Amino acid sequence: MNKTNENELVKLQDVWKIFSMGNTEVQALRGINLSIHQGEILSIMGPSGSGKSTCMNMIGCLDRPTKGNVIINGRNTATMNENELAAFRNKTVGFVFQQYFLLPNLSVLENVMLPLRYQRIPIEERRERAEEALVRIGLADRLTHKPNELSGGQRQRVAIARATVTKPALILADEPTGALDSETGHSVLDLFQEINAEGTTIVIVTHDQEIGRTAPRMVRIKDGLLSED
Amino acid sequence: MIEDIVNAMQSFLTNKTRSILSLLGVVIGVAAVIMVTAIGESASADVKSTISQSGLDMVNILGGNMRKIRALQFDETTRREILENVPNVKNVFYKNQISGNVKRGNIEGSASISAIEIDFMEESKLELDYGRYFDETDNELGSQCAVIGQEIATSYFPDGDVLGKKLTVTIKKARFSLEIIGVLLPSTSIFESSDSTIYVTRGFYKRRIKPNPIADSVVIQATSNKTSVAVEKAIKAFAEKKTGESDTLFIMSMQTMLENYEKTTSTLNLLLSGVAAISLLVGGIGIMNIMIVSVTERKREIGIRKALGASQKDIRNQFLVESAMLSLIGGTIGILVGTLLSFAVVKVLGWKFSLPVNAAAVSFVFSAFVGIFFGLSPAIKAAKLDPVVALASE
Repeated sequence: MNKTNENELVKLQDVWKIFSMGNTEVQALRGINLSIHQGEILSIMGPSGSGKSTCMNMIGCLDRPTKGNVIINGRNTATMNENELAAFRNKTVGFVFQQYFLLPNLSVLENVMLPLRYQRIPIEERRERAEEALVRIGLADRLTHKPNELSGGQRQRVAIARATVTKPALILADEPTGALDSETGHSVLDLFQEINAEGTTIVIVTHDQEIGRTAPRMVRIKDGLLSED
Repeated sequence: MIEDIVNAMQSFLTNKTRSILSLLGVVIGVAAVIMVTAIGESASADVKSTISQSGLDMVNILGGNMRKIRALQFDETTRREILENVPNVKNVFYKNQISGNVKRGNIEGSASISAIEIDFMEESKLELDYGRYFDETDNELGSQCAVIGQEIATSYFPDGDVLGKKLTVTIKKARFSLEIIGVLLPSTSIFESSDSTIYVTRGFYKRRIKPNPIADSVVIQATSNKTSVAVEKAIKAFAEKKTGESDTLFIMSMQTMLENYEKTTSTLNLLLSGVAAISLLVGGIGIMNIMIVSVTERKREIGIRKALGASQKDIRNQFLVESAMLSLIGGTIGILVGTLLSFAVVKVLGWKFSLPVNAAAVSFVFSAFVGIFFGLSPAIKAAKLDPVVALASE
């Protein structure tokens, strides 16, 4: 156990990620140190190719570091097996992606129910909780629609409902407004503020200065190195 | 589980043409299995019923070699010896067969004349169409009466009025006028070609044609179907002892015939099952192929599911349910198609159709197995995908 701080949700310690493509090596992350505290909104800023998405993948346990430690809720992810990582992604993290990543064959409601399914929650309860989450983001009248029948902003709201339905400690949003016009983008950011007000930690990864500045705390990544203002 | 199945169905519906095409291998494989077994079973049931109708308690001694059969001297002494020495014998029926000329009015021809013992017809299940069997008196007196087969009746009595009418039969230059007392139903036996035979009593044969005749073919009736094989063996031993030669006669019980037939058909069935198994294997490879394509195409979906917290097991099971469902749907369609086609074939051939329940059950289970077996490798491949790579793919 590596519990340095009660308030610390995520801690990256000298995290390296090196991709080898044939003979060439790409150092996507070069020794990142970062602490994310419970209840904060943090933005990770950086141009494309800077390693910010890789950094997000590390935090969300979609990927493992080549070197260094990712400590979440005091647990070192290096000691966790695939099943534990999956359970962690399921219960502790909610992902929001730029391209929404909704499943096109499932209805809005079914999409939001999906993360609960991997917790083996009975279908009635899943439906209830998913409806609740969709009502909260104002899509109560779109339950049976397919994602392609919705606007971009609506789709992103569905994705946010899906990310919050498990009541995770941490929301990881990768360019959440990247595919939206600025007005819709701002309403999505407002939604994050609301969710944060209930105690959920939010990490927004973006290349957009303006979006990045809306967060109380901002870190920058460039060429795999992290700096904080 | 039900939810997994529903989801699998949804996923097929988004790719209808492909799903149907990938089923085709299994459909054809299972339909082939069902057809082979259904048609085979119906044919077999047909042959079996023919054999059974000849009487499973009957042991036939056929005069394959006249010299040898004469050496056995099937006379009254031998009859007594058989009845005394061979266990489980109920009746010994002696027969003599000769050919004769038959004439009625201007219709003339030749026919086989069979001199039999009076109970033979009833015991060997030669059923009467109308009229009566021979009785004790006919035999005692050697009356000039005959029971005729269906073909004889229609050839010589085209107007249908048969009973009490007479046929002129010439046997060994002696001419007889035989009164018809009965007509047999069309033959179902494989040993008695009763349709074209004119039956007379052995009493008649003794008195009018040959005194103290030696039988040229013998049918021995066992006490039951079960003892007939033992009787067959005992008769063989008896014949060997008496003539000092082995393989004296062609002796066969109906029971042994049935068993031989069953052995042959079970070998054949095994062979055909092998062919069917290969076609199911090909069907399974088809499913595997489509599952590999499906996994490749749905990398993005797999990545999303993993990001949402699906474990490797969840992903693996999802694809396994899909391939098992594909295969089971194929199997079900195959069973239906195979049943319909074999029903049509069996009806055209005029046999009795029996639904191959076992084959249907086996192919259903086997197709599920094929789906799981051939779906396993693509499903594991899907489960092991790196979520980052999967999400980044198009």
